[in-house]
Amino acid sequence: MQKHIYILLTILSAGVLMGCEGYLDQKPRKSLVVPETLDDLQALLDNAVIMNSNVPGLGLLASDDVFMEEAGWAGLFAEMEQQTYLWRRDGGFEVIGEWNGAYQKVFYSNVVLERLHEMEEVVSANERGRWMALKGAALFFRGSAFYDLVRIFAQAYQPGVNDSEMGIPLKLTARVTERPGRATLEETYKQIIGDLNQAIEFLPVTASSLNRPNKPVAESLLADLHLQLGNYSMARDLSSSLLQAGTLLDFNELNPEDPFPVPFLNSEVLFQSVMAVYSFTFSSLVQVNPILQASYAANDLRGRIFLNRQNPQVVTFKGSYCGNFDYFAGISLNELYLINSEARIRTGDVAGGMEVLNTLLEKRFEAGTFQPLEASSVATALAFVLMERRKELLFRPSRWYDLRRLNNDSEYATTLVREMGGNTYILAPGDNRYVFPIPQVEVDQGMKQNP
Amino acid sequence: MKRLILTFALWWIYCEVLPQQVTGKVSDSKTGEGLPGVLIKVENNELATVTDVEGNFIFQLEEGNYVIIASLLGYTLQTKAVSVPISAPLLFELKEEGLDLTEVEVVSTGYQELPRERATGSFALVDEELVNRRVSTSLLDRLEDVTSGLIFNRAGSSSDPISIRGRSTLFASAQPLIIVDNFPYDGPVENINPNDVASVTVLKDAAAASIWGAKAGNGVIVITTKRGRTNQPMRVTLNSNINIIEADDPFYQPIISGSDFLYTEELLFDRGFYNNLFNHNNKTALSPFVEDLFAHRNGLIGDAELAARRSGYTLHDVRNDISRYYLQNRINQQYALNVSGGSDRHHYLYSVGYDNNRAGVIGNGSDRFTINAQNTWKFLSDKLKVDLGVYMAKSLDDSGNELPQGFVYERLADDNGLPLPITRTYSQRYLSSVEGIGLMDWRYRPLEEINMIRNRLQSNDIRLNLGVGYKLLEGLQAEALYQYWENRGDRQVHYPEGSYFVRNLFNLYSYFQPDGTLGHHMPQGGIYDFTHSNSLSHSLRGQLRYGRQFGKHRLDLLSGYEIKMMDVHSDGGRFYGYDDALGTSQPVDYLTRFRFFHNNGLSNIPYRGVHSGLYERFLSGYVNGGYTYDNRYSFTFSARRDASNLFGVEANQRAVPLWSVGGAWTLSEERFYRWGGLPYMKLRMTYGYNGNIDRNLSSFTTAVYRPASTNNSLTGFALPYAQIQNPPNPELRWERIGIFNTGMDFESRGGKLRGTIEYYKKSGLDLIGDSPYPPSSGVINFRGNYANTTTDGVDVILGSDLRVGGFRWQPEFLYSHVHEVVTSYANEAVAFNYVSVGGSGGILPREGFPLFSIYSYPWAGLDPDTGNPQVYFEGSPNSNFTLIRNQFSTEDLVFHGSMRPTHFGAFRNNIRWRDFSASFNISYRFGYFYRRESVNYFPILRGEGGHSDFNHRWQHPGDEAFTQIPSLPSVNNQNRDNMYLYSDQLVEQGDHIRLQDVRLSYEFNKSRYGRMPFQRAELYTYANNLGILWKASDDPLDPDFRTMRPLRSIAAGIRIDF
Repeated sequence: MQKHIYILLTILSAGVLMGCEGYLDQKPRKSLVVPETLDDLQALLDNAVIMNSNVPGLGLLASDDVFMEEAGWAGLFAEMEQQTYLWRRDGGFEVIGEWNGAYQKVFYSNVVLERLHEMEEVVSANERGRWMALKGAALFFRGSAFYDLVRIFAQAYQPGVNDSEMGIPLKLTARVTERPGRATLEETYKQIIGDLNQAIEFLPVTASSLNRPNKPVAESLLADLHLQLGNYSMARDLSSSLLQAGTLLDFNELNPEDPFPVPFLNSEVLFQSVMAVYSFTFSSLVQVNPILQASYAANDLRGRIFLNRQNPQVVTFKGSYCGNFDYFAGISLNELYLINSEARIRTGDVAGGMEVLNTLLEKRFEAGTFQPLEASSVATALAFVLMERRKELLFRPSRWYDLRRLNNDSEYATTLVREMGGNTYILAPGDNRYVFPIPQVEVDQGMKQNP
Repeated sequence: MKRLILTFALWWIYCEVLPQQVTGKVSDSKTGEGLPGVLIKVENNELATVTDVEGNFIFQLEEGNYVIIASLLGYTLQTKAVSVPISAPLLFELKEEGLDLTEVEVVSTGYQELPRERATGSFALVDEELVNRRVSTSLLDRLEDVTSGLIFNRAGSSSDPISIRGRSTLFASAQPLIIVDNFPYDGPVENINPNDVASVTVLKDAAAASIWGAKAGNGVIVITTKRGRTNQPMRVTLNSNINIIEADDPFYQPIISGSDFLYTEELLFDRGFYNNLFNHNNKTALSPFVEDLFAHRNGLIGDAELAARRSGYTLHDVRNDISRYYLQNRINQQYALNVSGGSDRHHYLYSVGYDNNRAGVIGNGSDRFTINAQNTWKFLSDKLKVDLGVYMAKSLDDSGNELPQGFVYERLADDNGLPLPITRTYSQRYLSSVEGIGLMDWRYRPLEEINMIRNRLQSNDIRLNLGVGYKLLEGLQAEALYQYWENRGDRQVHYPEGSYFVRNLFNLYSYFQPDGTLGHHMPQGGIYDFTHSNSLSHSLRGQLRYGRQFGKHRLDLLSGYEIKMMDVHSDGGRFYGYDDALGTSQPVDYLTRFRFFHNNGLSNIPYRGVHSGLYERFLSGYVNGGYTYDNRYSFTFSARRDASNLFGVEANQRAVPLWSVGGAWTLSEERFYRWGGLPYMKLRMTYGYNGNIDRNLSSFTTAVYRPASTNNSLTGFALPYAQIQNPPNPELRWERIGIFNTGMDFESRGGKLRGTIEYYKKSGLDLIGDSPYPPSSGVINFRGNYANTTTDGVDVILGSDLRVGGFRWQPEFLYSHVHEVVTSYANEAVAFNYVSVGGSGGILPREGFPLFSIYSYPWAGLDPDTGNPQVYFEGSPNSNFTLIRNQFSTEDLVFHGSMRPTHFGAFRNNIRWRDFSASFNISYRFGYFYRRESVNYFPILRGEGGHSDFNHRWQHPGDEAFTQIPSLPSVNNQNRDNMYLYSDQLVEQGDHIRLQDVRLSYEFNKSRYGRMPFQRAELYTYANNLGILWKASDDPLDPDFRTMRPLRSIAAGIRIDF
């Protein structure tokens, strides 16, 4: 009997000590992966729903590109949109989507960057090119998301003036438990410039799809950044070589009768991205600022291609580079022309600047009718290019950022005024309301709120 | 016992050796009635007699020891050893066959069946009689209010419908593990026919459940199906019933009245809310009255016409039409036929069942057909035992008809009953403007859609069980068990060409061609969607079982391995231009993004490609043992290691070892035990760990691939893309639940009082939870090991069996107490999170408080000037909404208590008089709170309607004296709404007692009705959800059923044993 017990005990102990782990390698779900290969990382960055969408758009609503009668304003679906239009900050005003969307891009970029770092030593020679392209793309996406965030949730940066003011949290790892506080403006911009410069190093000159950044795209964003910060020679040098990165659209070839005359992914688009969707982006009562409406000359095709004049009382915008209700927030060649022109003018090259501007404008006017603009002084030239910036980059995020930067220059500072329901609302240059509050959930967790 | 022997001895000495008269009586164990015609035999003796009408018998025997056998067809034969002369009349209580399978109460763990005396753990047994007590299609319903410690949750998410002794996990599946015939059940529980179930055992503590290891954390429900028995003549049982369940009441939820709704529409119209929507690019639908208001403003209709239309609307309520045209009583019919029997080498059971259920919505319904065959053979002089079971279920579910959603004053039909269009997606103005240009009719008339769409799910489920046992040595048995399970599901949805779904898509993808005529990107014809799914699993178990008695020592050991694989595949697609009669379809261009007809937005034709593959692999090893000494002391242990194909974890994290130990002491077997009042008394104690698997978790970043077609339609880039599923979490650990259980079982003389009292304490360690996270981290929710919890509680079962006159009364009282506390939780949230999370069924643990807690703001009445809500903030009434949202201190929140009942149970009474029985169950739930619904202005100010409390809102200064409902605000402010909705005056005590059900039956027995063609017949009726007897709150709605009252039902049925 004792023998039996020994046999049994042996069997019993065997029960809990077993191997055969290979059987367990089957992954539990077909579509599931631990992102490991370059293909996986590319698929993460090709998630255009996250990476190429949700660019902050509330600045547009707060800017003087947009005009609404009371009817349109009252019909805005979200209370938050109504407040944004009038720069009000009543109780409960909260901007969530812009913040979350951008930090999601940062998160995806960090996941990709960390995996690329692990692979750095083992990636084969013929995969090296893809590895570099992905690294450049992830850095670009991260830098670009930080850039969007800092322009919505922090003061306009003036190097040397407000360096130590609050910037944004710079999340540089994929570990969600790591939670950095808000960096200063100087640190924030240093990080963005660093990310973009590195991206330029790694990115290839061309990308196979317009949702993927390439070297000219990263350079374009950096050029824009330097223009915003007042580093005009940098902006000029970066943008000069980029004017060949695409082909300008000839507006004579577009049909103004189309519901959306500018085609999706047209030849000017270097990088496609879409602004966050709000009820105002779909509204038929959100108008183009009457001053801008009137600014297009009769032979300026933009007046017919950008503006929907079906109802002369309510002139709306139909010229999105998305060919759709979506508002374009990517990078396009026309913006580069404007950056280059302005940077040239501001660095004293008035003739060069005007030439670049006229090259662009020629494609916007009825064929054969265009009279080149002429300017002899920096001031006149600048006035031209800044006005053309508004007319050309209509209903894009850029106007809000231009207001922020130009407000630092007393010559071009603008006081915005809106009339609504018998009240007058004023937004003076440098007002705190040029900075949106960060979400309350972050404040709940101890992050500092904007004034 | 000893006294009895002594009396016997005295008798024996006193009497002479003479033929003695032996008298006795045979009665039915259930009714207590005398049984006539019972054959009384004496073993190894020619002597035999038959009982008389009263069940009495009498015969002569010489002094000596005999074995007397009482037998009656349809009853289990009973033997008694007697010494003649006898001291008292012999009393036989015959049990009806099939009612109680075994004399000894046996509990099943799914690995072994063990007599209750030797069990140390906590088991709740629901026997066949109790399973059959309720009338329902589903088996699980039948466990409600008859199983101690088990509760059907009404609050919280629908993903955990049943809790056994509280909740043991925060986020992993909270469903108990369901075992059918020794293996975890992979199919839908709905496929188990309750008529095939012999008993259900609920395993509640570690000793009972740890044999199931990492899946047992939420408790285990073991279902044992019926079997034939050896040496039993063939028995045929038929059960049939019809259950009628009342129709839904669309008026149960109090919503804003039609005239109040019209008022809010006027108000919003004046405020300009509809301005944008009126001319919206999307041609957004507006309600008929808002259209009228615009028509009036634009001079299209005059004042009188507007007023006439407005008052016309107040006459109608769409809920009346829904009730009239859509809702109906549910009618469930059930038929089950069961044949069983056996010889000494073979026993069998075959059954067929058919259920037909008419659903609550017209035209919808389901049916289920089950076939079951169970065979057991014994070979090689009983050394080899082979079990073979086949179980098939075929079910069909039709759900093509959906309830229409209309504005409250819309009508589905005109006065003549002709279908009317209701508002859907597009404005009526727009639809009129595009009429007659060559589009398909674009209006939605719900009544025309009835029975048009076929939405059918067919499922075939097969389960095959094979078991082989071989006796190697005396007491040592080798066993192999195998189960194959397969389920094929086939969903078809056919939208015919005339359906709104097809017409709408067809129109959306229409366009004007250059010549001005209409073109269509979508072919004409219907749309046909299909999804095929195929699931299969193999489970194989090899084990050695050892069980022997050595004198006073009893040893049982069990050890084995188990391997399981389950694959679930599904694929689905869609055909356009489908012609159901001819079986043809047509191709479409999925890649081009076309402009929508109505708003020029870009979109490709919806592509429906569904592909999924899920794979589960388990490797487990287990040991389990029990040792009993002298029927007094028992010791049990169990250990198990589960390894699974968890994804995104290191290989060494794929497995978890779990164990338990337990001991029991049958106090009443001790010599010193002399308590005659309770001749049976047993104490038990166990400790151990169960686990929980969350297959969605991973310590690495995981992502899922999504198809290029989705990217294309959303962004215009036809590239496959990946979505991050889990952020990396290297600190991840398995959830474990340590369970301590101690209990006492007792029974008084003659079963007048029997009961079980148990105390338990569960410690949930490293429970995985979702935590709201600052979005700058990249995620807004993060899942990780956050919390530890402890749950302690008491389960009490008290039962009795009393006979008074001709009555037999068997009451059973169940009481459970659950007290759950979060003992540690890493994150602290702000007050607003605590008040709001609980309301939506989510969990936000807070140290020192129950997992499901209700908190609120201390209400300070309405502001007498504005009707704004006020709560006490730092001691005084405050109506600064933003301040309250952002600054309210967590400490100042009112904590009410648990959202889930902390004291609950049932009091079931079975009363029998001759052949009548009545049973009714009174259930109770105490010690919990819920939040009453009230007016939320957010949807109201979006023209979506809301709660009927709107009517009682503050309107003028002074109203605050009799109402607590805030005034209508000028702008939407969710913080303001929340201050009121999350205030303490809307929190109600949920305590209530309800009369759950009543069952009445009458039994015809062949012994009484000799000419009856069958042995036994039972006629029964069952009424469920009878109503609340008492509740603490004066809220008119049922505290547990907020959206629809528990529907009353009445059933009638017959059960016949041939």
